Amino acid sequence: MRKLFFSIVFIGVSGIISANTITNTSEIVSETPASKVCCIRSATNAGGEVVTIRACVESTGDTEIDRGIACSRASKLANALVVAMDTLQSFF
Amino acid sequence: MKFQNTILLLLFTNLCFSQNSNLVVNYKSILKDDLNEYGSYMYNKGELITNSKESLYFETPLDTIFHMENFGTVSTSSNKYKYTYYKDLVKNIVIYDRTYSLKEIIADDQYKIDWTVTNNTKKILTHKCQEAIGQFRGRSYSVFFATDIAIPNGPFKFDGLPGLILEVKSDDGAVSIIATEIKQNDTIIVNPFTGKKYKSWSDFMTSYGKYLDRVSNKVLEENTTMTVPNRYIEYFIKK
Repeated sequence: MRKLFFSIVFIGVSGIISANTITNTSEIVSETPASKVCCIRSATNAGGEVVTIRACVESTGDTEIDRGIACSRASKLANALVVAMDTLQSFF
Repeated sequence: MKFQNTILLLLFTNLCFSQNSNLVVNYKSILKDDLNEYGSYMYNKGELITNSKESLYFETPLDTIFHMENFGTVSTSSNKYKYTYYKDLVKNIVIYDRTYSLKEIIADDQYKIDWTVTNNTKKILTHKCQEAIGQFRGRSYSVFFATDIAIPNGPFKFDGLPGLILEVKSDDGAVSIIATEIKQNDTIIVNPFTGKKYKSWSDFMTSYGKYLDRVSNKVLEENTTMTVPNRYIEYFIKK
């Protein structure tokens, strides 16, 4: 009878521990994916046609800095692209 | 007899005036639409040379830098382009060369707007104007037309009211076209696209749709995609 009682207690404690482990594990997983910070910038070519670039960077936690980097990258690419469009008649 | 002569003289003068004299209207035309990345912007001078039968509308960019909430600081430069719209008000067709990268000429005969005239009035450049509201290719508009200038025309593709349209504003705040000057001019209006091959509005939309699909979300480098607008003043494709 004592053996049976201890067996039931052991199984119960094991269950509680394993349930906690699963909970903790799933919490860690949900925090894992890295977020991105994106920015859209546009430019017009000689014909007045608009080109829009969306650039994203991995988040470092400082949104302002990340956004600045993404916007700068998008802006540079948009301006380079309209120059290419003007130079090459059939760019696309 | 003297009265009859005066009437005849007045009729003759009126006839000569209506045949040779056109109105020239300058507009400031602004498009600022960055609701999403398929939006666009323009800051143009619009010049409308019109009589009651036909017109020419020229679009040229103005030098400016302005800020948009999602696109950031953008700029347009003068002397970059000049687009021409020839409109036949009798046949209700507008032919133009602004085709947004497709480099073709479009003949649009499906641009009619069903206006509802309201009781709102205001003065624009000394002219008493009345409001009309209507829908046009994806946007709702409020326009003001001059009740004392009986020319059923306006800037861009806006027309079909009993007076000259002097102000156009879209309810979403993206489009604003306002007359800045009206004068008379004796220039003869000619269709500059006579003898050229046209594409219909529906064919243009099909071609632009293919162009948009080809270009949209094109990956240029890691984590960077490009796209082109699905709309300027008019929506070409719903996205």
